[in-house]
Amino acid sequence: MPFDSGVTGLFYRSDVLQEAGYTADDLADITWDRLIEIGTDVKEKTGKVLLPFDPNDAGIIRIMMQSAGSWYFNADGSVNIADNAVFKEALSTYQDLVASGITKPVAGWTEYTGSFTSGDTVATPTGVWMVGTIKANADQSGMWGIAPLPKLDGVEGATHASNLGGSSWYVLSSAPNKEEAIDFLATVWGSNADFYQDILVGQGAVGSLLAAREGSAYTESDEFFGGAPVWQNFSDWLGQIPAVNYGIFTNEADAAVIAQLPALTSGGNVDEIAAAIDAQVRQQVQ
Amino acid sequence: MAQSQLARSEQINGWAFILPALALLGIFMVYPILWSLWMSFQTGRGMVMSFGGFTNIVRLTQDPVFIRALTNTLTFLAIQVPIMLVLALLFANALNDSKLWGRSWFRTAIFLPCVTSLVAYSVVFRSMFGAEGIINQMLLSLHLIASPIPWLADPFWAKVVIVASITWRWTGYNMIFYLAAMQNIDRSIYEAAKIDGVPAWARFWYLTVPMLKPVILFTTVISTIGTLQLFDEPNLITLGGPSDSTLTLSLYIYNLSFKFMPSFGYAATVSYVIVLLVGILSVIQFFLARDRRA
Repeated sequence: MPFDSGVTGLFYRSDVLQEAGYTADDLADITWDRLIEIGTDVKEKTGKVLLPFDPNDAGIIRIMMQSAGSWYFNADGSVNIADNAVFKEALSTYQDLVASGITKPVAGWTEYTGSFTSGDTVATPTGVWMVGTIKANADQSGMWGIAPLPKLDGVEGATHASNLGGSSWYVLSSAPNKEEAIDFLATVWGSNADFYQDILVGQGAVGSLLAAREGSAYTESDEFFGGAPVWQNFSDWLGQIPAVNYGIFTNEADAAVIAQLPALTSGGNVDEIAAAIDAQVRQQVQ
Repeated sequence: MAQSQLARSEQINGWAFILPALALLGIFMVYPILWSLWMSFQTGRGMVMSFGGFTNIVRLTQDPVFIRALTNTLTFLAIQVPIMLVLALLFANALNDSKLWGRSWFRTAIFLPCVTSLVAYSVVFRSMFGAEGIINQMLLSLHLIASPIPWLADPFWAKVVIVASITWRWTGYNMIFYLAAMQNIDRSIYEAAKIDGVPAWARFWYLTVPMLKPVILFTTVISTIGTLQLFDEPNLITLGGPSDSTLTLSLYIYNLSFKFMPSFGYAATVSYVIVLLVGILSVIQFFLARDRRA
Protein backbone atom coordinates (compact mmCIF):
# COMPACT_ATOMS: atom_id res chain seq x y z
CA MET A 1 0.00 0.00 0.00
CA PRO A 2 1.61 3.31 -1.05
CA PHE A 3 1.67 6.00 1.67
CA ASP A 4 4.45 8.50 1.12
CA SER A 5 4.76 10.29 -2.17
CA GLY A 6 7.74 11.82 -3.92
CA VAL A 7 5.72 14.20 -6.08
CA THR A 8 8.15 16.60 -7.74
CA GLY A 9 8.39 20.33 -8.20
CA LEU A 10 11.02 22.91 -9.05
CA PHE A 11 12.31 24.46 -5.83
CA TYR A 12 13.90 27.84 -6.44
CA ARG A 13 15.23 30.89 -4.63
CA SER A 14 12.58 33.47 -5.43
CA ASP A 15 14.77 36.36 -4.24
CA VAL A 16 17.58 35.53 -6.66
CA LEU A 17 15.20 35.07 -9.57
CA GLN A 18 13.48 38.32 -8.68
CA GLU A 19 16.85 40.05 -8.80
CA ALA A 20 17.15 38.80 -12.38
CA GLY A 21 13.62 39.98 -13.15
CA TYR A 22 11.64 36.74 -12.92
CA THR A 23 8.47 36.15 -10.93
CA ALA A 24 6.59 32.98 -10.05
CA ASP A 25 4.44 33.40 -13.16
CA ASP A 26 7.52 33.26 -15.38
CA LEU A 27 8.27 29.79 -14.05
CA ALA A 28 4.74 28.39 -14.28
CA ASP A 29 4.12 25.87 -17.06
CA ILE A 30 7.48 26.20 -18.79
CA THR A 31 9.56 23.70 -20.75
CA TRP A 32 13.12 22.67 -19.93
CA ASP A 33 14.30 24.74 -22.89
CA ARG A 34 12.71 27.82 -21.38
CA LEU A 35 14.37 26.97 -18.05
CA ILE A 36 17.72 26.96 -19.84
CA GLU A 37 17.00 30.45 -21.21
CA ILE A 38 16.03 31.68 -17.74
CA GLY A 39 19.06 30.01 -16.18
CA THR A 40 21.42 31.58 -18.69
CA ASP A 41 19.88 34.98 -18.04
CA VAL A 42 20.08 34.52 -14.26
CA LYS A 43 23.73 33.55 -14.56
CA GLU A 44 24.47 36.67 -16.61
CA LYS A 45 22.67 38.98 -14.21
CA THR A 46 23.54 37.50 -10.83
CA GLY A 47 26.58 35.35 -11.58
CA LYS A 48 24.88 32.36 -9.96
CA VAL A 49 24.58 28.89 -11.45
CA LEU A 50 20.99 27.64 -11.53
CA LEU A 51 21.13 23.90 -10.80
CA PRO A 52 23.42 21.53 -8.87
CA PHE A 53 23.88 18.23 -10.74
CA ASP A 54 25.43 15.15 -9.20
CA PRO A 55 27.15 13.14 -11.96
CA ASN A 56 26.63 10.04 -9.83
CA ASP A 57 22.84 10.35 -9.69
CA ALA A 58 20.36 9.61 -12.47
CA GLY A 59 17.36 10.94 -10.52
CA ILE A 60 16.76 13.88 -12.86
CA ILE A 61 16.56 11.56 -15.89
CA ARG A 62 13.98 9.43 -14.06
CA ILE A 63 11.97 12.54 -13.12
CA MET A 64 11.88 13.67 -16.75
CA MET A 65 11.01 10.22 -18.04
CA GLN A 66 8.10 9.68 -15.68
CA SER A 67 6.76 13.19 -16.29
CA ALA A 68 5.99 11.99 -19.81
CA GLY A 69 4.65 8.63 -18.67
CA SER A 70 7.66 6.56 -19.65
CA TRP A 71 10.18 4.39 -17.82
CA TYR A 72 13.26 2.21 -18.36
CA PHE A 73 10.92 -0.76 -18.69
CA ASN A 74 7.61 -1.52 -20.36
CA ALA A 75 4.60 -2.56 -18.29
CA ASP A 76 5.50 -6.22 -18.90
CA GLY A 77 8.99 -5.64 -17.51
CA SER A 78 10.86 -5.74 -20.83
CA VAL A 79 13.68 -3.23 -21.38
CA ASN A 80 12.55 -0.01 -23.04
CA ILE A 81 15.63 2.16 -23.56
CA ALA A 82 17.28 2.20 -26.98
CA ASP A 83 14.03 2.94 -28.83
CA ASN A 84 12.41 4.98 -26.07
CA ALA A 85 11.82 8.46 -27.55
CA VAL A 86 10.98 9.95 -24.14
CA PHE A 87 14.12 8.55 -22.55
CA LYS A 88 16.25 9.89 -25.36
CA GLU A 89 14.58 13.29 -25.08
CA ALA A 90 15.39 13.23 -21.35
CA LEU A 91 19.04 12.41 -22.19
CA SER A 92 19.33 15.22 -24.71
CA THR A 93 17.62 17.65 -22.31
CA TYR A 94 20.21 16.68 -19.69
CA GLN A 95 22.92 17.25 -22.28
CA ASP A 96 21.51 20.68 -23.16
CA LEU A 97 21.23 21.67 -19.50
CA VAL A 98 24.88 20.83 -18.85
CA ALA A 99 26.09 22.36 -22.14
CA SER A 100 24.30 25.64 -21.41
CA GLY A 101 26.49 26.14 -18.34
CA ILE A 102 23.60 26.51 -15.89
CA THR A 103 24.51 23.37 -13.94
CA LYS A 104 27.27 22.82 -11.45
CA PRO A 105 28.74 19.40 -10.69
CA VAL A 106 28.39 18.34 -7.06
CA ALA A 107 29.57 15.13 -5.43
CA GLY A 108 27.20 13.30 -3.16
CA TRP A 109 24.15 14.24 -1.13
CA THR A 110 25.81 16.62 1.34
CA GLU A 111 27.39 18.73 -1.38
CA TYR A 112 24.16 18.63 -3.38
CA THR A 113 21.89 19.88 -0.60
CA GLY A 114 24.60 22.22 0.69
CA SER A 115 24.81 23.77 -2.74
CA PHE A 116 21.29 25.17 -2.79
CA THR A 117 20.78 25.70 0.93
CA SER A 118 23.92 27.85 1.05
CA GLY A 119 22.70 29.96 -1.86
CA ASP A 120 25.52 28.84 -4.13
CA THR A 121 23.03 27.48 -6.65
CA VAL A 122 19.52 28.77 -7.17
CA ALA A 123 17.12 25.93 -7.91
CA THR A 124 16.62 22.18 -7.96
CA PRO A 125 13.91 19.93 -9.38
CA THR A 126 13.23 17.23 -6.80
CA GLY A 127 10.70 15.42 -4.64
CA VAL A 128 8.41 17.15 -2.16
CA TRP A 129 10.32 15.63 0.75
CA MET A 130 13.07 18.20 0.10
CA VAL A 131 10.83 20.72 1.90
CA GLY A 132 12.24 19.49 5.22
CA THR A 133 15.84 20.16 4.18
CA ILE A 134 15.01 23.57 2.76
CA LYS A 135 12.90 24.72 5.70
CA ALA A 136 15.70 23.73 8.08
CA ASN A 137 17.28 27.06 7.11
CA ALA A 138 14.86 29.33 8.95
CA ASP A 139 16.75 32.47 7.91
CA GLN A 140 15.76 31.81 4.28
CA SER A 141 12.04 32.10 5.04
CA GLY A 142 10.19 33.87 2.27
CA MET A 143 13.10 33.47 -0.14
CA TRP A 144 11.91 30.21 -1.65
CA GLY A 145 9.29 29.34 -4.23
CA ILE A 146 8.05 26.11 -5.75
CA ALA A 147 7.12 25.95 -9.43
CA PRO A 148 5.67 23.03 -11.35
CA LEU A 149 8.26 20.77 -12.91
CA PRO A 150 9.33 22.00 -16.37
CA LYS A 151 7.95 19.91 -19.21
CA LEU A 152 9.86 17.92 -21.84
CA ASP A 153 9.73 19.61 -25.23
CA GLY A 154 8.13 17.92 -28.22
CA VAL A 155 7.15 14.73 -26.40
CA GLU A 156 3.67 13.31 -26.54
CA GLY A 157 2.08 12.98 -23.12
CA ALA A 158 4.57 15.32 -21.43
CA THR A 159 3.26 16.75 -18.15
CA HIS A 160 4.46 18.97 -15.31
CA ALA A 161 4.10 16.21 -12.75
CA SER A 162 6.48 13.44 -11.80
CA ASN A 163 7.70 11.42 -8.87
CA LEU A 164 11.05 10.86 -7.15
CA GLY A 165 11.16 8.34 -4.37
CA GLY A 166 8.32 7.50 -2.02
CA SER A 167 7.47 4.46 0.01
CA SER A 168 4.89 1.76 0.51
CA TRP A 169 3.72 -0.62 3.23
CA TYR A 170 3.89 -4.35 2.70
CA VAL A 171 2.38 -7.11 4.80
CA LEU A 172 4.15 -10.45 4.57
CA SER A 173 1.84 -13.26 3.54
CA SER A 174 3.32 -15.44 6.29
CA ALA A 175 3.05 -12.76 9.02
CA PRO A 176 1.60 -14.05 12.32
CA ASN A 177 -1.00 -11.27 12.73
CA LYS A 178 -1.63 -10.62 9.09
CA GLU A 179 -5.33 -9.69 9.41
CA GLU A 180 -4.67 -7.19 12.19
CA ALA A 181 -1.85 -5.55 10.26
CA ILE A 182 -4.00 -5.19 7.17
CA ASP A 183 -6.84 -3.80 9.25
CA PHE A 184 -4.51 -1.26 10.88
CA LEU A 185 -3.12 -0.12 7.56
CA ALA A 186 -6.55 0.11 5.99
CA THR A 187 -8.09 2.20 8.79
CA VAL A 188 -5.16 4.50 9.59
CA TRP A 189 -3.04 4.70 6.46
CA GLY A 190 -5.81 3.85 4.05
CA SER A 191 -8.70 6.06 5.15
CA ASN A 192 -7.84 8.39 8.03
CA ALA A 193 -7.50 11.78 6.31
CA ASP A 194 -6.77 13.55 9.63
CA PHE A 195 -3.75 11.35 10.17
CA TYR A 196 -2.31 12.64 6.89
CA GLN A 197 -2.88 16.25 8.03
CA ASP A 198 -0.80 15.45 11.13
CA ILE A 199 2.16 13.95 9.30
CA LEU A 200 2.07 16.76 6.75
CA VAL A 201 2.28 19.47 9.41
CA GLY A 202 4.64 17.56 11.69
CA GLN A 203 6.89 15.76 9.20
CA GLY A 204 6.33 17.45 5.83
CA ALA A 205 5.27 14.09 4.42
CA VAL A 206 2.85 14.28 1.52
CA GLY A 207 0.77 11.14 1.73
CA SER A 208 -0.49 9.41 -1.33
CA LEU A 209 -4.09 9.09 -0.07
CA LEU A 210 -5.91 11.34 -2.52
CA ALA A 211 -8.82 11.93 -0.11
CA ALA A 212 -6.43 13.56 2.36
CA ARG A 213 -5.95 16.47 -0.03
CA GLU A 214 -9.25 18.03 1.04
CA GLY A 215 -8.05 18.38 4.65
CA SER A 216 -7.27 21.71 6.29
CA ALA A 217 -3.49 21.29 6.45
CA TYR A 218 -3.33 20.81 2.70
CA THR A 219 -5.15 24.04 1.95
CA GLU A 220 -3.02 26.24 4.16
CA SER A 221 -0.36 28.47 2.67
CA ASP A 222 3.24 28.56 3.82
CA GLU A 223 5.03 31.81 4.58
CA PHE A 224 8.36 30.12 4.04
CA PHE A 225 7.45 29.77 0.38
CA GLY A 226 6.18 33.32 0.01
CA GLY A 227 2.66 32.51 1.21
CA ALA A 228 1.92 30.14 -1.66
CA PRO A 229 -0.44 27.19 -1.08
CA VAL A 230 2.43 24.76 -1.62
CA TRP A 231 0.71 21.67 -0.24
CA GLN A 232 -2.36 22.24 -2.36
CA ASN A 233 -0.13 22.60 -5.42
CA PHE A 234 1.81 19.46 -4.62
CA SER A 235 -1.33 17.46 -4.06
CA ASP A 236 -2.74 18.74 -7.36
CA TRP A 237 0.41 17.62 -9.15
CA LEU A 238 0.23 14.34 -7.26
CA GLY A 239 -3.06 13.58 -8.97
CA GLN A 240 -1.49 14.26 -12.38
CA ILE A 241 1.59 12.03 -12.14
CA PRO A 242 1.57 9.63 -15.09
CA ALA A 243 1.50 6.07 -13.83
CA VAL A 244 4.40 3.83 -14.81
CA ASN A 245 5.47 0.36 -13.76
CA TYR A 246 8.89 0.70 -12.10
CA GLY A 247 9.66 -3.00 -12.20
CA ILE A 248 12.44 -4.38 -10.02
CA PHE A 249 15.55 -3.33 -11.93
CA THR A 250 15.63 0.46 -11.48
CA ASN A 251 18.99 0.33 -9.67
CA GLU A 252 20.55 -1.64 -12.51
CA ALA A 253 19.21 0.80 -15.10
CA ASP A 254 20.31 3.79 -13.02
CA ALA A 255 23.84 2.39 -12.79
CA ALA A 256 23.89 2.00 -16.58
CA VAL A 257 22.71 5.59 -17.09
CA ILE A 258 25.26 6.96 -14.61
CA ALA A 259 28.03 5.07 -16.41
CA GLN A 260 27.17 6.99 -19.58
CA LEU A 261 26.70 10.46 -18.05
CA PRO A 262 30.29 11.61 -18.78
CA ALA A 263 29.81 10.63 -22.44
CA LEU A 264 26.55 12.57 -22.41
CA THR A 265 27.97 15.71 -20.81
CA SER A 266 30.95 15.73 -23.15
CA GLY A 267 28.52 15.99 -26.06
CA GLY A 268 28.22 12.36 -27.19
CA ASN A 269 25.58 11.11 -29.61
CA VAL A 270 22.34 10.46 -27.72
CA ASP A 271 21.32 7.46 -29.87
CA GLU A 272 24.66 5.76 -29.32
CA ILE A 273 24.55 6.49 -25.59
CA ALA A 274 21.00 5.12 -25.31
CA ALA A 275 22.14 2.00 -27.17
CA ALA A 276 25.06 1.52 -24.77
CA ILE A 277 22.76 1.95 -21.74
CA ASP A 278 20.30 -0.49 -23.31
CA ALA A 279 23.03 -3.08 -23.83
CA GLN A 280 24.28 -2.79 -20.25
CA VAL A 281 20.78 -3.02 -18.76
CA ARG A 282 19.92 -6.08 -20.84
CA GLN A 283 23.17 -7.68 -19.73
CA GLN A 284 22.46 -6.89 -16.06
CA VAL A 285 18.83 -8.02 -15.86
CA GLN A 286 19.30 -11.42 -17.51
CA MET B 1 55.30 -49.99 24.90
CA ALA B 2 55.14 -47.23 27.48
CA GLN B 3 56.93 -45.00 25.02
CA SER B 4 54.31 -45.48 22.30
CA GLN B 5 51.46 -45.01 24.77
CA LEU B 6 52.91 -41.67 25.74
CA ALA B 7 53.24 -40.74 22.09
CA ARG B 8 49.64 -41.75 21.49
CA SER B 9 48.33 -39.71 24.38
CA GLU B 10 50.37 -36.74 23.19
CA GLN B 11 48.86 -37.15 19.78
CA ILE B 12 45.34 -37.21 21.17
CA ASN B 13 45.96 -34.30 23.49
CA GLY B 14 47.52 -32.31 20.70
CA TRP B 15 44.57 -32.78 18.42
CA ALA B 16 42.15 -32.08 21.27
CA PHE B 17 43.86 -28.77 21.93
CA ILE B 18 43.62 -27.55 18.35
CA LEU B 19 40.18 -29.05 17.74
CA PRO B 20 38.21 -25.93 18.80
CA ALA B 21 40.32 -23.73 16.51
CA LEU B 22 40.01 -26.25 13.68
CA ALA B 23 36.25 -26.48 14.10
CA LEU B 24 35.84 -22.70 14.03
CA LEU B 25 38.14 -22.48 11.03
CA GLY B 26 36.12 -25.15 9.29
CA ILE B 27 32.78 -23.49 9.97
CA PHE B 28 33.80 -19.90 9.28
CA MET B 29 36.52 -20.34 6.62
CA VAL B 30 36.53 -23.65 4.80
CA TYR B 31 32.77 -24.13 4.57
CA PRO B 32 31.99 -20.63 3.22
CA ILE B 33 34.83 -20.90 0.70
CA LEU B 34 33.56 -24.22 -0.63
CA TRP B 35 29.96 -23.05 -0.53
CA SER B 36 30.82 -19.87 -2.49
CA LEU B 37 32.60 -22.02 -5.06
CA TRP B 38 29.42 -24.05 -5.43
CA MET B 39 27.37 -20.84 -5.54
CA SER B 40 29.50 -19.44 -8.35
CA PHE B 41 28.01 -22.10 -10.63
CA GLN B 42 24.45 -21.18 -9.72
CA THR B 43 22.24 -18.65 -11.46
CA GLY B 44 19.05 -16.90 -10.39
CA ARG B 45 17.82 -14.01 -8.27
CA GLY B 46 17.72 -13.91 -4.50
CA MET B 47 17.04 -17.29 -2.95
CA VAL B 48 15.73 -18.84 -6.15
CA MET B 49 18.86 -20.47 -7.53
CA SER B 50 19.49 -23.23 -9.99
CA PHE B 51 22.62 -24.88 -11.33
CA GLY B 52 23.86 -22.95 -14.35
CA GLY B 53 27.16 -24.59 -15.20
CA PHE B 54 29.46 -22.06 -16.84
CA THR B 55 26.68 -19.48 -17.46
CA ASN B 56 28.21 -17.05 -14.97
CA ILE B 57 31.65 -17.29 -16.54
CA VAL B 58 30.17 -16.57 -19.96
CA ARG B 59 28.28 -13.65 -18.41
CA LEU B 60 31.57 -12.27 -17.03
CA THR B 61 33.07 -11.99 -20.48
CA GLN B 62 30.08 -10.02 -21.77
CA ASP B 63 29.61 -7.74 -18.78
CA PRO B 64 30.83 -4.17 -19.47
CA VAL B 65 30.53 -3.26 -15.78
CA PHE B 66 32.74 -6.17 -14.75
CA ILE B 67 35.34 -5.11 -17.33
CA ARG B 68 35.25 -1.55 -15.95
CA ALA B 69 35.56 -2.75 -12.37
CA LEU B 70 38.46 -5.04 -13.32
CA THR B 71 40.24 -2.25 -15.21
CA ASN B 72 39.79 0.17 -12.30
CA THR B 73 41.05 -2.37 -9.78
CA LEU B 74 44.14 -3.18 -11.85
CA THR B 75 44.75 0.56 -12.42
CA PHE B 76 44.67 1.18 -8.67
CA LEU B 77 47.00 -1.77 -8.16
CA ALA B 78 49.51 -0.68 -10.81
CA ILE B 79 49.65 2.91 -9.61
CA GLN B 80 49.00 2.83 -5.90
CA VAL B 81 51.10 -0.13 -4.69
CA PRO B 82 54.43 1.06 -6.20
CA ILE B 83 53.90 4.64 -4.98
CA MET B 84 53.04 3.47 -1.49
CA LEU B 85 55.90 0.97 -1.14
CA VAL B 86 58.54 3.38 -2.46
CA LEU B 87 57.28 6.08 -0.08
CA ALA B 88 57.27 3.61 2.81
CA LEU B 89 60.83 2.56 2.02
CA LEU B 90 62.05 6.15 1.82
CA PHE B 91 60.31 7.11 5.06
CA ALA B 92 61.69 4.04 6.80
CA ASN B 93 65.20 4.82 5.63
CA ALA B 94 64.95 8.45 6.74
CA LEU B 95 63.45 7.55 10.12
CA ASN B 96 66.07 4.86 10.72
CA ASP B 97 68.72 7.54 11.07
CA SER B 98 69.54 7.60 14.78
CA LYS B 99 70.66 11.25 14.56
CA LEU B 100 67.27 12.44 13.33
CA TRP B 101 65.58 14.77 15.81
CA GLY B 102 62.08 13.70 16.95
CA ARG B 103 62.12 10.51 14.94
CA SER B 104 59.78 8.59 17.23
CA TRP B 105 57.27 11.41 16.84
CA PHE B 106 57.51 11.14 13.03
CA ARG B 107 57.24 7.36 13.18
CA THR B 108 54.05 7.59 15.23
CA ALA B 109 52.63 10.32 13.01
CA ILE B 110 53.19 8.30 9.84
CA PHE B 111 51.92 5.07 11.40
CA LEU B 112 48.83 6.65 12.97
CA PRO B 113 46.60 6.72 9.83
CA CYS B 114 46.31 2.94 9.72
CA VAL B 115 44.86 2.76 13.22
CA THR B 116 42.30 5.54 12.69
CA SER B 117 38.70 4.63 12.03
CA LEU B 118 38.04 4.00 8.38
CA VAL B 119 34.68 5.70 8.33
CA ALA B 120 35.90 8.75 10.21
CA TYR B 121 38.85 9.33 7.91
CA SER B 122 36.72 8.74 4.81
CA VAL B 123 34.26 11.38 5.95
CA VAL B 124 37.13 13.80 6.58
CA PHE B 125 38.63 13.06 3.15
CA ARG B 126 35.25 13.60 1.53
CA SER B 127 34.94 17.05 3.01
CA MET B 128 38.61 17.90 2.41
CA PHE B 129 38.28 17.04 -1.27
CA GLY B 130 34.86 18.67 -1.64
CA ALA B 131 34.34 21.41 -4.20
CA GLU B 132 34.76 23.99 -1.42
CA GLY B 133 37.02 21.76 0.63
CA ILE B 134 40.29 22.70 2.24
CA ILE B 135 42.41 21.17 -0.55
CA ASN B 136 40.81 23.35 -3.21
CA GLN B 137 40.98 26.42 -1.00
CA MET B 138 44.66 25.80 -0.37
CA LEU B 139 45.50 25.27 -4.04
CA LEU B 140 43.43 28.33 -4.99
CA SER B 141 45.09 30.60 -2.47
CA LEU B 142 48.51 29.39 -3.60
CA HIS B 143 47.43 30.27 -7.16
CA LEU B 144 48.34 26.78 -8.34
CA ILE B 145 44.94 26.37 -9.97
CA ALA B 146 42.59 28.94 -11.48
CA SER B 147 39.28 27.25 -10.67
CA PRO B 148 38.37 24.57 -8.08
CA ILE B 149 39.17 20.99 -9.11
CA PRO B 150 35.98 18.84 -9.06
CA TRP B 151 37.79 16.14 -7.07
CA LEU B 152 34.83 13.87 -6.48
CA ALA B 153 32.71 14.81 -9.50
CA ASP B 154 35.31 14.05 -12.16
CA PRO B 155 36.23 10.46 -13.12
CA PHE B 156 39.98 11.14 -13.26
CA TRP B 157 40.28 13.19 -10.07
CA ALA B 158 38.08 10.74 -8.16
CA LYS B 159 40.65 8.03 -8.94
CA VAL B 160 43.40 10.36 -7.72
CA VAL B 161 41.54 10.91 -4.45
CA ILE B 162 41.15 7.17 -3.90
CA VAL B 163 44.85 6.51 -4.62
CA ALA B 164 45.83 9.38 -2.30
CA SER B 165 43.63 8.15 0.53
CA ILE B 166 44.75 4.52 0.45
CA THR B 167 48.35 5.66 0.21
CA TRP B 168 47.85 7.95 3.19
CA ARG B 169 46.30 5.14 5.17
CA TRP B 170 48.70 2.29 4.45
CA THR B 171 52.13 3.85 3.91
CA GLY B 172 52.89 3.95 7.63
CA TYR B 173 51.84 0.35 8.04
CA ASN B 174 54.35 -0.81 5.43
CA MET B 175 56.98 1.54 6.80
CA ILE B 176 56.87 -0.26 10.15
CA PHE B 177 57.77 -3.56 8.43
CA TYR B 178 60.74 -1.92 6.71
CA LEU B 179 61.87 -0.19 9.90
CA ALA B 180 61.76 -3.44 11.83
CA ALA B 181 63.76 -5.20 9.13
CA MET B 182 66.30 -2.35 9.00
CA GLN B 183 66.98 -2.71 12.71
CA ASN B 184 68.11 -6.25 11.99
CA ILE B 185 70.71 -5.26 9.43
CA ASP B 186 74.18 -5.44 10.93
CA ARG B 187 75.52 -1.88 11.33
CA SER B 188 79.08 -3.02 10.62
CA ILE B 189 78.14 -3.55 6.96
CA TYR B 190 77.33 0.16 6.67
CA GLU B 191 80.51 1.11 8.54
CA ALA B 192 82.58 -0.97 6.14
CA ALA B 193 80.82 0.61 3.19
CA LYS B 194 81.37 4.09 4.60
CA ILE B 195 85.07 3.43 5.05
CA ASP B 196 85.24 2.23 1.46
CA GLY B 197 83.70 5.56 0.43
CA VAL B 198 80.34 4.26 -0.80
CA PRO B 199 77.93 7.22 -1.15
CA ALA B 200 74.65 7.31 0.80
CA TRP B 201 72.39 6.58 -2.19
CA ALA B 202 74.46 3.54 -3.11
CA ARG B 203 74.40 2.27 0.48
CA PHE B 204 70.62 2.49 0.30
CA TRP B 205 70.29 0.94 -3.14
CA TYR B 206 72.97 -1.77 -3.00
CA LEU B 207 72.87 -2.63 0.69
CA THR B 208 69.55 -1.75 2.31
CA VAL B 209 67.21 -2.69 -0.52
CA PRO B 210 68.72 -6.15 -1.22
CA MET B 211 68.82 -6.90 2.52
CA LEU B 212 65.13 -6.03 2.76
CA LYS B 213 64.13 -8.20 -0.17
CA PRO B 214 62.08 -10.75 1.78
CA VAL B 215 60.19 -7.96 3.58
CA ILE B 216 59.65 -6.04 0.34
CA LEU B 217 58.25 -9.22 -1.22
CA PHE B 218 55.98 -9.73 1.77
CA THR B 219 54.64 -6.15 1.71
CA THR B 220 54.16 -6.31 -2.06
CA VAL B 221 52.08 -9.44 -1.76
CA ILE B 222 49.89 -8.18 1.09
CA SER B 223 49.46 -4.77 -0.57
CA THR B 224 48.48 -6.47 -3.82
CA ILE B 225 45.89 -8.56 -2.01
CA GLY B 226 44.63 -5.50 -0.12
CA THR B 227 44.26 -3.41 -3.26
CA LEU B 228 42.56 -6.19 -5.20
CA GLN B 229 40.00 -6.40 -2.39
CA LEU B 230 39.63 -2.61 -2.22
CA PHE B 231 36.13 -1.76 -1.03
CA ASP B 232 35.97 0.69 1.88
CA GLU B 233 37.37 3.86 0.36
CA PRO B 234 35.43 3.69 -2.95
CA ASN B 235 32.28 2.83 -1.01
CA LEU B 236 32.67 5.59 1.56
CA ILE B 237 34.36 8.38 -0.37
CA THR B 238 33.10 8.12 -3.96
CA LEU B 239 30.41 5.39 -3.95
CA GLY B 240 32.20 3.89 -6.93
CA GLY B 241 31.48 6.98 -8.94
CA PRO B 242 31.35 9.22 -10.74
CA SER B 243 30.10 6.91 -13.47
CA ASP B 244 31.85 3.75 -12.27
CA SER B 245 35.27 5.42 -12.42
CA THR B 246 36.20 4.14 -8.96
CA LEU B 247 34.09 0.98 -9.05
CA THR B 248 36.25 -1.89 -7.83
CA LEU B 249 35.61 -5.62 -8.07
CA SER B 250 34.65 -5.83 -4.39
CA LEU B 251 32.24 -2.93 -4.70
CA TYR B 252 30.70 -4.56 -7.76
CA ILE B 253 30.24 -7.78 -5.80
CA TYR B 254 28.49 -5.73 -3.11
CA ASN B 255 26.24 -4.04 -5.69
CA LEU B 256 25.37 -7.37 -7.31
CA SER B 257 24.45 -8.88 -3.95
CA PHE B 258 22.84 -6.02 -2.02
CA LYS B 259 22.08 -3.02 -4.24
CA PHE B 260 20.75 -4.67 -7.38
CA MET B 261 18.26 -7.52 -7.46
CA PRO B 262 20.56 -10.02 -5.79
CA SER B 263 22.53 -12.35 -8.06
CA PHE B 264 24.52 -14.14 -5.38
CA GLY B 265 25.75 -16.77 -7.81
CA TYR B 266 27.20 -14.27 -10.24
CA ALA B 267 28.64 -12.22 -7.35
CA ALA B 268 30.43 -15.36 -6.14
CA THR B 269 31.86 -15.84 -9.63
CA VAL B 270 33.25 -12.30 -9.58
CA SER B 271 34.78 -12.96 -6.16
CA TYR B 272 36.60 -15.98 -7.58
CA VAL B 273 38.13 -13.66 -10.18
CA ILE B 274 39.79 -11.85 -7.27
CA VAL B 275 40.98 -15.16 -5.83
CA LEU B 276 42.44 -16.09 -9.21
CA LEU B 277 44.14 -12.69 -9.62
CA VAL B 278 45.64 -12.83 -6.14
CA GLY B 279 46.97 -16.32 -6.87
CA ILE B 280 48.48 -15.41 -10.23
CA LEU B 281 50.04 -12.15 -9.05
CA SER B 282 51.52 -13.74 -5.92
CA VAL B 283 53.13 -16.50 -7.98
CA ILE B 284 54.58 -13.90 -10.36
CA GLN B 285 55.91 -11.83 -7.48
CA PHE B 286 57.52 -14.83 -5.80
CA PHE B 287 59.02 -15.85 -9.13
CA LEU B 288 60.51 -12.39 -9.75
CA ALA B 289 61.92 -12.18 -6.23
CA ARG B 290 63.40 -15.70 -6.15
CA ASP B 291 67.06 -16.16 -5.25
CA ARG B 292 69.13 -16.40 -8.38
CA ARG B 293 72.28 -18.49 -7.91
CA ALA B 294 74.79 -18.76 -10.66
